[in-house]
Amino acid sequence: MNTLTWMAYSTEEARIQLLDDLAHAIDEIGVALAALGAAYELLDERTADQLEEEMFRPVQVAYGRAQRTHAGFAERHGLAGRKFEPSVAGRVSQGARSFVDTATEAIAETEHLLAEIQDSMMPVEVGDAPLRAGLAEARELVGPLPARAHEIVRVIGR
Amino acid sequence: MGRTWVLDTETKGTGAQMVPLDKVVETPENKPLFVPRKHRPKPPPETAPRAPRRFKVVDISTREVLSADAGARSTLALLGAIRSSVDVNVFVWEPSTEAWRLLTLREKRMLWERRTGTSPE
Repeated sequence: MNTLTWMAYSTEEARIQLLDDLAHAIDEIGVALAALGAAYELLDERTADQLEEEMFRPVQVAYGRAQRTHAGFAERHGLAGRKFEPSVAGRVSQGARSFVDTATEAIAETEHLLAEIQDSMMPVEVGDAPLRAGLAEARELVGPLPARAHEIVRVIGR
Repeated sequence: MGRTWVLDTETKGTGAQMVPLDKVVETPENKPLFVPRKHRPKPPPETAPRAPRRFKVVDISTREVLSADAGARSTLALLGAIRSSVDVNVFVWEPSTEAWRLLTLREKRMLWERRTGTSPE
């Protein structure tokens, strides 16, 4: 294997790894969405509206943005895309607070995964500008959510 | 038989005066007869028939408009082909504001539960 072939191969491998890492983050967002949807069903109307406005919507936007980033990067570099399956929230008996806690953990994990991707420098070395923009936007969307979740949990706990 | 006279004290200003009894006693024949009008229910206000709701469905990951200005029936059929309700945003046309309004989660759930087709969430 000559040097050029090896470099091309490793670049493709790195891009696949990048896509896999991003897919993992998207799966976590899916978990958060499912949990928030389940919590919504169990809350009173006012708290449910607050949950929808302050958490569900931003998470859904982040879910869409991250998927778009994944699909776009794969397409631009001739790599296989992926369909993201809907997550299952869990049992209703868990209660609204437990669902919000699950969502918060998944959001925190998403944020952690996105930060790891950015810190790895792979987006700079083998990525491209739309990928970097998509990662940054998704991270900005989920970043403030744990604090909002804390506020909602406080309301539920009253 | 002579007329009966009584003291009419209802006279204003000049004090009481003697009047024939038949002038102050009200009899049914000289009292106007009041006949209440028959109650007729008010006709309902004429309102224009509400136009059928129009919906727009947008894929959240691709931002592709999957259907625009579609009726309820075709929107429910489209939702039936979608894997998960979180994969799309559904808007409804509001004639009063002449703008598309994003359905709330509750509203979207109601549509989702009525979707036609077999795609499970």
